[in-house]
Amino acid sequence: MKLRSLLPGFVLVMLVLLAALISYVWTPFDVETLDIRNKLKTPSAEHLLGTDHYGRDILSMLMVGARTSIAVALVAVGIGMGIGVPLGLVAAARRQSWTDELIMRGNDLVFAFPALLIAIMITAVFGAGAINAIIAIGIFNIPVFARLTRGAALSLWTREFILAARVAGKNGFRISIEHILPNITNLLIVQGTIQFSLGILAEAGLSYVGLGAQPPIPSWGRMLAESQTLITLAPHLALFPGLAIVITVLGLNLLGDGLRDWLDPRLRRER
Amino acid sequence: MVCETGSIRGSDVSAETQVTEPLLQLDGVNVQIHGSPILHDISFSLAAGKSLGIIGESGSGKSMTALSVMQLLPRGSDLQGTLRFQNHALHSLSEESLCGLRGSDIGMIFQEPMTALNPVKTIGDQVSESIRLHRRISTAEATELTAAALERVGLPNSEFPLSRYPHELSGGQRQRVVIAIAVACKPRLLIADEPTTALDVTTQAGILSLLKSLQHDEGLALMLITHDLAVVSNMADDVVVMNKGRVVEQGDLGRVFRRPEKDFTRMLFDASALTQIATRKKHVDDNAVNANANANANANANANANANANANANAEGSDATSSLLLRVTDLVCEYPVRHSGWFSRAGSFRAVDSVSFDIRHGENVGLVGESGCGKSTLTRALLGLMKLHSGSIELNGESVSAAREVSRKARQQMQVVFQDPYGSFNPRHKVSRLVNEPLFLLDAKLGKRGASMRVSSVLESVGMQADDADKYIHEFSGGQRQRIAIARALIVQPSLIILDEAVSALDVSVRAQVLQLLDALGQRQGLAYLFISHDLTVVQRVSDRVLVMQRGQIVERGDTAAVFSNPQHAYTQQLIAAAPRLQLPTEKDE
Amino acid sequence: MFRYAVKRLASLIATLIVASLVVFVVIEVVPGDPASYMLGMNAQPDTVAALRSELGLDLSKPVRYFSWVTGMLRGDFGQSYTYRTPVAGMIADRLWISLPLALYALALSTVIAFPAGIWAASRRGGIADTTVMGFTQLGIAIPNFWFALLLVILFAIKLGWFSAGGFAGWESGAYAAMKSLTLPAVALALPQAAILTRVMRSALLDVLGEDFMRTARAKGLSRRQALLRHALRNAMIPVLTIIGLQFSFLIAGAIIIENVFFLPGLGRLIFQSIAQRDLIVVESVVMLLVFAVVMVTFMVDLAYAWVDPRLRQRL
Repeated sequence: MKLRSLLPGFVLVMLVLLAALISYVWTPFDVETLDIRNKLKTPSAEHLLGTDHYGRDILSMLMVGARTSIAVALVAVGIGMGIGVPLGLVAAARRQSWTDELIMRGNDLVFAFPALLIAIMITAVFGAGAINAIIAIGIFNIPVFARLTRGAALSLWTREFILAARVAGKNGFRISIEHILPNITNLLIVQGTIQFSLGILAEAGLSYVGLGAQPPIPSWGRMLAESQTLITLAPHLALFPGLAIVITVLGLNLLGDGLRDWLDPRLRRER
Repeated sequence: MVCETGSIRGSDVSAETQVTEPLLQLDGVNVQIHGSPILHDISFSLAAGKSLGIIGESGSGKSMTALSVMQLLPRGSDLQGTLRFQNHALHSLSEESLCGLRGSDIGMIFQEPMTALNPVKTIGDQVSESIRLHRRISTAEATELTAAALERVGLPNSEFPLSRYPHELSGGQRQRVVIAIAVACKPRLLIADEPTTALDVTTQAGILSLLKSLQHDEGLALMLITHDLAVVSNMADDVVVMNKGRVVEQGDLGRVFRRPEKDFTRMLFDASALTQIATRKKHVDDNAVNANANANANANANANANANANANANAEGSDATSSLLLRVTDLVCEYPVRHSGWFSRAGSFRAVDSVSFDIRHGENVGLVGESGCGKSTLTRALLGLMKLHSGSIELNGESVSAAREVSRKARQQMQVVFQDPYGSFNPRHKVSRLVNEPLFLLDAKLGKRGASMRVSSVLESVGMQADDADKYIHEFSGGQRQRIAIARALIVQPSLIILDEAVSALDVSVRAQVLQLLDALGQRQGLAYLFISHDLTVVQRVSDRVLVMQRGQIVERGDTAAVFSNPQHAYTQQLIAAAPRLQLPTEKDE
Repeated sequence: MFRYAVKRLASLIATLIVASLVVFVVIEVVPGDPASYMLGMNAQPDTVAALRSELGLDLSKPVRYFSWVTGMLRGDFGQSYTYRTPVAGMIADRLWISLPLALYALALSTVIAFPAGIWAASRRGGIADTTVMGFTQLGIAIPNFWFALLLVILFAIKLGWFSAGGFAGWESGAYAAMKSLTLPAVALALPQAAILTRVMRSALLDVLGEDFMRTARAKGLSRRQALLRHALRNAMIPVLTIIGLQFSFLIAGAIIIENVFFLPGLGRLIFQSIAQRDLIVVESVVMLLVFAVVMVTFMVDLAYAWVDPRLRQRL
């Protein structure tokens, strides 16, 4: 079976997760102390990835920055799923009714605002910060999950086993929970990993323009922003945070693809 | 890359000079797909202008055989053996030459007419593409030929201009377009893979007669693949019987059906003709006694209802003494239709238009009708899935439709088995959970032990085993799944089971078994059935009385024997005439 | 078709109205009084009051909303709080950088993605397919602004073929202007091209499995002919959806990329205005971008109906 992407994806994701978790207990160097004498050092045995313009160890900063990226993206997916999935289920259960129309229009409305614009609006009003990034990305995730759930649920509602459940007297709510939800879980898991990876990218973009987590909280995007002016002097400053992002996103995408193949009922004869 | 015409066209080689050489000859064809063997040692031949039926159940390899003639096997296939068509060795031709043959010398039509045409191209485009691919002619000429081809298949240009799109046509009409595409270049051989399986009875008759007339007028050889022996018996001269990728038997149609050499063929024939199912009439009286006993024992029954049963104007000719179970009076069901105009007038469509009928305890009432006649709406109304616009439904004398919807209590008495054994179960639940779902209807819940005991007993009564309850549904075959579906219907001890095309999706042999099971259960438990089917042969066999439905109304009703031997209404006559009968050609020179 | 277009248009207008309400409420109503917000906490009450009446903030909210909307319809976006110049003028200049950038990137990504996706689908499972899939996996994972930095390092600094930033201006001629937009457009286009390639490939593979493809082969069409003549058009339907969505991501991406290349586009304008708390500029630019996205969606909807005749009848 073609599970070529599952294992590498899983490994990469685990790597990043571990780095983030370990950073709570230990990092090679402390990220808060500045050591100007050591600034802009290229990778060496002591500082595996070099140091930045304040002398901070880049590897340590990446590890702590992983926390931010993961936290923001994860909570944003949580918001998207937590609100989007029930909305989609309700819309499908009450298809062709006003509720359904309303939910679909709401979806279209949110889709008209790119996540960045939402973040800009929120930031303009409430100020920049990680919370705003979470809210902005989360809001944009909601219609993604709502639309996915609704579509999948709609195609299930016409199936005969749902009819059988209705014959047994079960109402829309019960059917959505007992029958629909278990059958769309696979799709949701796969989409969840995709949105997670998109969340990482979005958080990086927002931090890059200064709308995400604020100093002193490290963030990969901001590391890239700070590296820009020094790009001729110290290209490694721009290289490593970017690589960190690529590895994380790549890992998540591979994981998502692998999960999709693994969970596909057509490819698996036994549950 | 234009496919070359000229030397490959069979027009140079007329049918008359090929008396000895068959048009198509397969010898020792073996096919594996990704290593697993699909076809074993297939050999048969087809002479020009004759028709060959390839029959078998699902998985027998008949479609694969057709695809191997066209050399359109799926990726990863490996073919050995020889396939000769006229003077070409199909198995060794280049893809380019094969492109030249396909559509011009050999045409093929498939099973699903609804999806066989490209939805974004007009029918004119799709037919003329076939012509222009194989002949160098001008656009104007091609358009003329296209129009002629569509006329030839029964789609007159006045009603079906070339600019029509497939979604504007019905299933039968789309199939005609597919046939037009296949025969536009006047091929010598037409392969038809289950061309009418997805179509209504009357539409099917039309398509089959079209194929016959094409064969007759143009000397076309026909290779017809089907699982329906009745269809084959009307269309083919010779048959090839296939099972599990092998040829079981072949030869002249009459000989194979009358004197089959192999057990498999005999079994197939018997199952199709439903010879195992004894006629129903004599059961009804026995059932009456059983059913009365059951009805009295059932706490929901009204004791007085038994007395009123027979003496009323609606009694449709049956003099059985069984009591009335279900009475439907002037039932009307409507669907709202959003009028597609500027000012939305909410119209409504009457799917069920003032329908009345009775079902007695223990009776098997057949309901026949084509798609769109309203039988599914009727089913939903009876099962409490739809609101009634007007009319009443009475169960054992008590009205159950007071709130314009069948009551929950009543639903315990009426259960259903659906058509699709693969779609009627939640793939994530175990069989025990699937079977005990209707217990939700009971007011007094059973509790875990009680429920599980019921599940075991009901599984055993359908010929399955108690420990099947722990398995998942995908571990079972189509026939077994329908048994489980029947078990699910039985678990609340209903008096009536609605069988909504419950055996239509099953293989012939399995169908016979399930019908026998239903028969046995009906007798033992005094069950009544509403047997909905488009297959008139089956209905004729298993039901006591029959209702014929058209456009939301019941146009004819009566004892099965009477209706089938002497249909009164024009539509019934049309249906019966169109239904393929398993008939053998008269003994000629054998 | 006409009815379909009108219905879509009605939907578009409804969305715009609701969107404008949302923008107005979030930016003007929620934070309370924009004037005191701008002047800070220590401002004198009468200074605040003076500013408020100057900016027209002492009118009631519904009145302000309507005058804002009607103003926009006339092309009058109000006056910047900070610079006291018409917002419309500020936007117009910037628009002529951000919009061409987004379109340039869209064109690039389409030009790369279509052939790549078709090629991969036609050689499914082979080396070509795996290679394309591998590249696209990478392309999706690369943040466009990081890619931009790498491009600058390589093409501007090391090779010197392009300048590291700045915009030549349309007055210097179209060629010079486009040249300065090229690196940014490439950086924007890459991840989009990767996504679009995958979508094209998967849409084609889905279509290739449909029944009518079987009919096409049975007619005598070769694999390639069947793919180009039948599959492609059907595959366009999901592809068009994605292109429409992509435009909104491109707009967002353009705003970020402008930062890398010091392009004086809408992005720069927005971030400056946020820093200066010039809310009316923020409001107007956001509304404009939303309008662009909604318009593109509308055009995509129209394109659907052109491609798929089934949609022309249904409303």
